Amino acid sequence: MANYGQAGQGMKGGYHARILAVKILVYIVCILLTVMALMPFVIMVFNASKSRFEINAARLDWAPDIKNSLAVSLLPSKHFIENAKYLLKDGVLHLPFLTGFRNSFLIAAGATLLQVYFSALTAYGFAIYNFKLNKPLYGFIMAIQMIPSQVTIISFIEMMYKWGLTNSFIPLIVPAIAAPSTVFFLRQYMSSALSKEMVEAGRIDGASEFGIFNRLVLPILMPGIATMAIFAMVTAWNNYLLPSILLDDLDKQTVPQLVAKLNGNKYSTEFGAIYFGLTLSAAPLVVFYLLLSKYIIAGVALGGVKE
Amino acid sequence: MASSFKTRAKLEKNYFGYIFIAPFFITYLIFQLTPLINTIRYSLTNAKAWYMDPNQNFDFVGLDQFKAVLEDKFFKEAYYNTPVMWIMGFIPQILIALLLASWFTNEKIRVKGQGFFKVVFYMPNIMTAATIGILFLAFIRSNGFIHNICVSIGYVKDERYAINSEWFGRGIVAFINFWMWYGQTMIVLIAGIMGINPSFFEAASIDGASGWQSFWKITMPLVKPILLYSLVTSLIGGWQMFDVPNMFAEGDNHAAFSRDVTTLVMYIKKLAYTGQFQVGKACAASVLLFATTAVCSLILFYIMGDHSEAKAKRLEKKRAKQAAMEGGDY
Repeated sequence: MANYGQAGQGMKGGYHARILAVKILVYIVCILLTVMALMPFVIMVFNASKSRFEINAARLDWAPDIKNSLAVSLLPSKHFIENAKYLLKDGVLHLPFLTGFRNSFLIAAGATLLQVYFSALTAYGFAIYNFKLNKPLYGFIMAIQMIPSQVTIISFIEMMYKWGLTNSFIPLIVPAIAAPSTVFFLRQYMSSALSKEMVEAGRIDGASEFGIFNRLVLPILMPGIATMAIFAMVTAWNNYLLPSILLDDLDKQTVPQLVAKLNGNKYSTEFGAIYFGLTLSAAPLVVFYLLLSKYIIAGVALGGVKE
Repeated sequence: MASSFKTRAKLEKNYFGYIFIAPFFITYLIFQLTPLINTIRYSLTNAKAWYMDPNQNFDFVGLDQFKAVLEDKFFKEAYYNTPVMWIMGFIPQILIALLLASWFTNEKIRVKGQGFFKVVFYMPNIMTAATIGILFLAFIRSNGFIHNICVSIGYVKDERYAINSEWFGRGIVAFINFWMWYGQTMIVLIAGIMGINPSFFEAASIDGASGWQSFWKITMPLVKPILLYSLVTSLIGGWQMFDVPNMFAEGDNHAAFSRDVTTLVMYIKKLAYTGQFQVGKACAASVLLFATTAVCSLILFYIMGDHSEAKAKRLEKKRAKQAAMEGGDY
């Protein structure tokens, strides 16, 4: 920026040279940041296919090992399978990652479906119907957006204990019905995507109010709902704090909980297996991200501009 | 006749509004408002965790729990660690994001591969924080990537020694926060800058303004609301920091500096579900956390909110929003 700014005031001959210099700087910074963003994941995947001895060998001499680890093929090697077995079957770790994936998926899918459907329903209620408490209740939703859920987590958990809902997915799914920021986003989205005339037309055709919402409005709102669903899914999948207290049974635990256990075992010197577990937990998200990155980036841009 | 009939029909239909918003409010009442009220209620008692005391025999103790929390050295440590780690991460986060956003939106530089860079820089944000925490913990253990670098540059004397510096610990948590969030802030700022009316820049350029000047006189004032938004959301999130530092502090192989990265939410969880299961005290700490978050947000709004120009900004934001919506082609 600074260079570029001075260039405007500088002599004409130096102008293009300055722009070129800034361009080179920009690309160097971007490439360095790219390396910084990807490096931890690359090392993670490389180490997942190495044996304990190969990883420990790095202790003796750091520099040559980088060369070695870069030389390690990404194809599943003998150690990759060994590490997988150690993590999932024979070893001391024995973490039920496949069950974990199922649990995380059930929770994330359930919470996402409830969150987007009921948020759309709520936003639609505020957008279309002109009832007496419309404005104050919407103001209430705007206000509670700012309350972080962590401040109420202890009494929330106490309530769940009292209701016997430990080791149940209900506390992790049902509260998603009330998601103030999703309501806010979809309400904003409706103001540009939906018109009252459409709803009137549906009424003239004799559709019921819920029929209009389910069959006419939901399809129109799909792009906005999909954006919110992506973020709701990721948030629910990554959630750690609440499940870490509520889900005790190993068979009920989610992926982040199992990942946290990769540190919790005294005998876990099987670093290859640890890196394998980390890679396993990251893999679905990477695939999900690469498939949907276009929508995710657009969604981040949209979400940020909101008030 | 016809018009009055229509009005009556509309009035009847408007009643549906309450039905449509009812599930939200019922769920909110049960799962969020009740716990919020109970948090305040418990904070005035000596309640223990439910599974330690299912009969819930607790007494009203006034503000004793607040006094106990404020005198607790672990609370003071957590109350120091949390904002310090947030600030250490947020300053580079906002600076790098602003720099990249101004580069990526500069017509004269025309950075190629912006789509690729956005996808790469945002990627750490979507990954499970638990995974990131354990990964970096493995890196700083005595055979890990970062530990090896520290040995090779002489920061750690012997490869057998664990890194045991409080500032290294806070630094690595702050770095992870920065690393996970600068891409998000950058994308948000790019959307904001793209929403600025291009004729402002043209007019400035005709008037002989340099790129530096138009950045400070046009871009900065117009993205101020977005900066404020990033600042407030990041600050609220920062006070609730949990997942990453918790991975450093939990388990048998926790980091040597685990106490120096203990945050308020970690402290609250520990109070309620380990040791003496002091739910009352944990709720008092929660109320203090809530109050702190609220006060910090209000102060920021007060300092950064410029009310005389509020209307113009709202117009700009509307435009930015439209531009962003058009940009996100589905």
